[in-house]
Amino acid sequence: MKKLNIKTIVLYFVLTMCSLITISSAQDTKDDIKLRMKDRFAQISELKQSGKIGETPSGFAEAVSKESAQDEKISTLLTAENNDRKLLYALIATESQTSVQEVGMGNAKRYFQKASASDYFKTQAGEWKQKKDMMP
Amino acid sequence: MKCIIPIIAVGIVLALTGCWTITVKHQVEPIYITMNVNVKVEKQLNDFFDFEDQGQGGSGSTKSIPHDKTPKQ
Repeated sequence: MKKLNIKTIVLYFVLTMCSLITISSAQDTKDDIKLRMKDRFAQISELKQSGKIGETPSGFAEAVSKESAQDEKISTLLTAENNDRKLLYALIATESQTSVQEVGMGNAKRYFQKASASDYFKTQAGEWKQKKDMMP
Repeated sequence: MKCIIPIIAVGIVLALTGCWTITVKHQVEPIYITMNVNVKVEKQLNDFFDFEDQGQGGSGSTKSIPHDKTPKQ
């Protein structure tokens, strides 16, 4: 009986430690994403301002023109940005008990509200339009 | 025997009233849950992207718009 108790205690201890490690690593991941996105923010903003990239309804950044899409620097930056957004949306979706798509759409809405009139947004039909042309 | 019919009638009325109450509750709850999730997601996104408001880079979606456009005299 004593052995069983010790085993149970050890099992609970291991489980608690595992859950603590999982929680702390998830937090680290969110902080890491934030740091990377913060570093990228100036470049992303500059590209948005110059009309080379825009936001999609699903909450991801995309090249507006073919020329921009073919630019290696831009495509590398967009891949890194969208990978981090994917991770972030998944984390928030788990925390809020909702879907990744829902979080992405929420972020797209947030970007639209904060954008300047000249920023580009992709419509549901797949067309690129400036914010000023989308306003009623 | 005379008392049984009114008791049954009252029972039917009470049962129907109970059913109506359940229907109303089912219509309200999903709206509340959806709103709660949306608010939660919105808050988490705003908390995460707080660096955008701190003027990191100072261009793009949070670019500063010059306010004093009045001509200098």
